[in-house]
Amino acid sequence: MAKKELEYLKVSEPNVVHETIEGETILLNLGTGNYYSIEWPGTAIWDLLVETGDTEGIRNAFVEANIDKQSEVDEAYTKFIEKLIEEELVVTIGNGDASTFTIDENSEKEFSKAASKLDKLTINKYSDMQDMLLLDPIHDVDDKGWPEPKKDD
Amino acid sequence: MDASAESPFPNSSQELLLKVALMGKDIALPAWREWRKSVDFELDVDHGSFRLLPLAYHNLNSFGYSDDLVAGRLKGIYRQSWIKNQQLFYKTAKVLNLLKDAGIKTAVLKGIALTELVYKNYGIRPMSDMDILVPFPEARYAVDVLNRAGFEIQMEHLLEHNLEFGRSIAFTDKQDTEIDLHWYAFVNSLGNAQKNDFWDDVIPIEVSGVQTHSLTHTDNLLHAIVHGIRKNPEPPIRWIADSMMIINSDDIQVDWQRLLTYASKFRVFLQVKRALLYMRDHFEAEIPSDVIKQMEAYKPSYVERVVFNYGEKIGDNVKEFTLSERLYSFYARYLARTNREGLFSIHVGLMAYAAKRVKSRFTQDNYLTSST
Repeated sequence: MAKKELEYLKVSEPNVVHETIEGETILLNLGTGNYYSIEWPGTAIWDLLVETGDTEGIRNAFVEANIDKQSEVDEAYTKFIEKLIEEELVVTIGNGDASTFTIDENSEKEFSKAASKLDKLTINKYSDMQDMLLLDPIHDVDDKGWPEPKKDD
Repeated sequence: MDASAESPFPNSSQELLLKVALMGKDIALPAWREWRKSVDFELDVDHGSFRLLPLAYHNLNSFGYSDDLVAGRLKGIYRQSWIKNQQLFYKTAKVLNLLKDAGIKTAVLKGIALTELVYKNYGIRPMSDMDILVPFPEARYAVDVLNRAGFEIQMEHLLEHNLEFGRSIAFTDKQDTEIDLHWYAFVNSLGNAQKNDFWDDVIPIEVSGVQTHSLTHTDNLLHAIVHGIRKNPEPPIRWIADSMMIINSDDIQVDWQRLLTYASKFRVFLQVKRALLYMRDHFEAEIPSDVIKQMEAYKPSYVERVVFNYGEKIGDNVKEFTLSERLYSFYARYLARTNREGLFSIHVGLMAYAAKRVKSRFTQDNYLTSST
């Protein structure tokens, strides 16, 4: 993918709705019916993307916060962003509609911590929505709660 | 206080859960611990309580409180509610657009309006259908618009009756999502309804990008009370959460005089009085003292007393009637709808109503109990 295409992104509204609760971002693509869940550190990147749209600015800050792991961080970040695009959760925009990301102390600390959790920089996709919605969220789920089904004994 | 499973007033465990959902930390956290001790989460959560769990989760979360149940299954119930509501809002926007394109003014009622204006969160007020209000002179046209667009009328045999004596008709889409099309906010004293009632001060809102309206906060409070404070097999205790959220919202000023004026006009004063006093006594609702005085001084009419007692004793969606209950139901439902005054006039009206019902529907075996 050409770098330029990734420069500025925004949430694919109105089809995509999202909310971050207790360190988890939940997303629903109303057009496809697919449901997604992102955990930290993906939530931190998602929130910054929603706020600024500056994909490359966030990438640069993330990589610079982890000098000794630059290539792994860059690769994990690229995969994460490409997945967001592939699932039509975000769309590219001209830079006139975005703002420039400037890293602050909190984001720098988060980015440093995130380098040790790159395996968590993923998007969990649930595409069998109709079946999932039939799950009774008290009795048919495990201790993590809906949409994780109860494991058979 | 009646606290049977079908009562509009909560039993002790339901009241605990309402406190978890609505009150500040000092009351909500002990109530949560007590609720967990008194309720088997696997076995004892009735539907009325279930519908409060996302709000309870949200309130506990706002205190920074968590435990295994909150972080697990309560959060899951919130997630599921968020998704179902988002899907419902998306569909509602399409229906609103159809009506808008036909030149029909719309307002959303109940959960959709309260979610946008009061709860301000898509996950904490579960709902299963959409409620859309159109001005009553445009009811038939709105029915035609939805019909032509492929929405299927439920209980079509009631359409003509409901257009004359009712407040709404239900449609479903191809995925069985229910659309309740209302032309009156509620069924009481229909003859007293004027075209501008409720519409005079509606609040413009957006539902998934489509412009529509909500009733005023005060009218939403009245609607939550009148709709909720009737016995129902599905425990209707959520009226307390809806009403308390309106009363307690920092950015909402209830117009108490408007509330009492409409309550009197539509003969639902007893329902409003009972609800407000209950919320004052059990949930610390701040009701102005002059409102309390006006309510205590109010002398309800014969019609109001019968309709109120019917709501408390029999209510909505009764599965099986005895013959005497069926006759009582027919009588109370007529009284709810009429705006006649004086016993002679009321009962002359009853004869005319009964004759009309029998004439139009004598071939249908359930003609005494249509619900809307």
